[in-house]
Amino acid sequence: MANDLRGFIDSLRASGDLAEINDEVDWNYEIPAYEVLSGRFGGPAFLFNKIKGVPKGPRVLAAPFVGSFYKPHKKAAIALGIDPNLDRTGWNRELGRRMATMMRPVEVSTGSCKEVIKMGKDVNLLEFPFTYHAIGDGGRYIFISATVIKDPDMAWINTGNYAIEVFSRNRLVITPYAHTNFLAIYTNKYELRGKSMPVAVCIGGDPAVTMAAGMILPPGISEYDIAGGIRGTPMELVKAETSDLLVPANAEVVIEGEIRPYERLPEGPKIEVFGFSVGPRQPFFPIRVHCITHRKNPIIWDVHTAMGASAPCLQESLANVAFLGQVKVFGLPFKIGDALAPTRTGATSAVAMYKKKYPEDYPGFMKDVFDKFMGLPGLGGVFAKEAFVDDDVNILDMADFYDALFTQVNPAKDIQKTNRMTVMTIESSWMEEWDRDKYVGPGGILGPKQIYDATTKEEPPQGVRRLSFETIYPEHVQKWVVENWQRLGFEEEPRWNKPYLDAKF
Amino acid sequence: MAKRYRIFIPEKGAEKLNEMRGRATSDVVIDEDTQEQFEAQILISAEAEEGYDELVIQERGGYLPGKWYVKIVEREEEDEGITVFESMKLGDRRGYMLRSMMAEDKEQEKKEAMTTELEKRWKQKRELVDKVLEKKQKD
Repeated sequence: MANDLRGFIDSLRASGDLAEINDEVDWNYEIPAYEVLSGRFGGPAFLFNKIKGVPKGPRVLAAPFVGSFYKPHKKAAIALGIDPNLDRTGWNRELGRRMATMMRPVEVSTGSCKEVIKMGKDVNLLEFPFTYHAIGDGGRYIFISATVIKDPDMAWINTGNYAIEVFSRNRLVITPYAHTNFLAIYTNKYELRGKSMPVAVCIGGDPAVTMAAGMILPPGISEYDIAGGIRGTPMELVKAETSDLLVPANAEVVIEGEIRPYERLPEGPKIEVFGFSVGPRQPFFPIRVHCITHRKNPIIWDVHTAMGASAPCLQESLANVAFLGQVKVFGLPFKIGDALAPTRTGATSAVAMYKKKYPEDYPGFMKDVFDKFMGLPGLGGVFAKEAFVDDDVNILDMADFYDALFTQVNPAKDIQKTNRMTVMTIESSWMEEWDRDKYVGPGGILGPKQIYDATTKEEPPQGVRRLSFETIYPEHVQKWVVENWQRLGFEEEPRWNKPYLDAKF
Repeated sequence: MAKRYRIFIPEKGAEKLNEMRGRATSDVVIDEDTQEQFEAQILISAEAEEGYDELVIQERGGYLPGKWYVKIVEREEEDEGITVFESMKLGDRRGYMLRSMMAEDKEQEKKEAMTTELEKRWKQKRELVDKVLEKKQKD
């Protein structure tokens, strides 16, 4: 099957994870409503073939990454040809292995994304069935894309996935978070120099590109290289029409434009993974759209950010490995594995697993680790609440996690609070305007941040730090019980944390 | 069928609305049919008048109660051309960033010296000559 959106649709169809709908549906609420309901039970993706009020042609793939709590990665695995039955640990390990083998893209002369080319006055974004997701939203949104920009000083192509408001026929408003490489490149290297930045918003193409675009990566790493790694073959790129940006040759739609220095348009409110209709209406970066190239009868994919829908599932599938890649790059002593569960616990919260050493390198070592974590934009600049637990806590098991949180945190010492640090968002959309004025500014969002140190503070007798099946019985006993569990007549599969806790990446 | 538009107002919306009523103001308006947004000169009214369409007013946490109407007096549209960016070879500046930026600055300074600076010096010279001539005439 082809390594593009249509190939992904074929794979979903083959695995029984696609529902094809030929009834007419509306981009206004109806399509996103299907996805939200599907997200409740890890349901199917939908291919809508007939969209109300949209000229014959464009179709919509909704709920492409809907998954379940224990398998949020199921459809992402289908997209990459990985076994969808892998558990989270297996998935993280496989994705991490593939990411480590980056492959540079290749430039080709043309591609299917150039089948139709519209420039200038012929450009009309409203011809495409971009959806209106929820009551109160400021407009229609593109929540899944690979937005391509280039560092003007070096050979670094940056690709990211941002919430993009469809403002008018020829304007988009893009909303990168404060910690993103996009913002660093744009503000430091274009806006401050008084230069316009060329930008290309790519929809569809190889899902590997969009997945890589959704990862928070250290500066200087191109997501195209990561995409090549996770697909196992180099991405094919083609030059854009109005700039020398390279875009995926097999994209469904490529929207080309520019961001002019110091230009802003009102954006939001919008639904977000961390709450309903997040944020006030605020000024963000408009993209003046000059050209749209697309395949004939393009397919737009659409994701929703409600709990269990595609956006949080995709984030959960990708974030752990991407964050831990950073942890590895910057030498932080965290377990490389399923150490962060960002979305189901609220996107602005994180759980990090600390590889505890006894004795610590020096008194105050842990505080220094937190400070370093906080100082890295891609880690500390993301979350508003962070909890650190020992690396023998299974953070996917809420009982295990809360046990650590409630038994190891000394409220007098182990909760750190800072009042104003860069965060992805302030969680309450119901914040009063005067507070928003205090925290939300053009440089990003400054918010209060809390850290819970839920690691054990000293080695307990015999090294048994907590009372659990995995810590208080010898391994052969654990194995014996697990293996005999079903033989003894119990129907439910036992959840044994040992393989998860032992996993090394 | 009459059209329906939407605008956003900040908190303390009533004050803002009082300011807006009865006089044309510029605001971003959303067409509820297409969700297209555009800047326009608008008139707001609490009564249905001829030429007015339905208006939804959104503020933090919901919609303003009551019925509102809007008249689009003039839609503000920019007529713009297409920007095509010059091709720059990837990595053109790699390793030479500082050097190339210094060269650019030098070029800029040279340009400045050849235009603004020369003009300034010529003016100063002219003023001096005028002063000397004036003095000579007086003598």
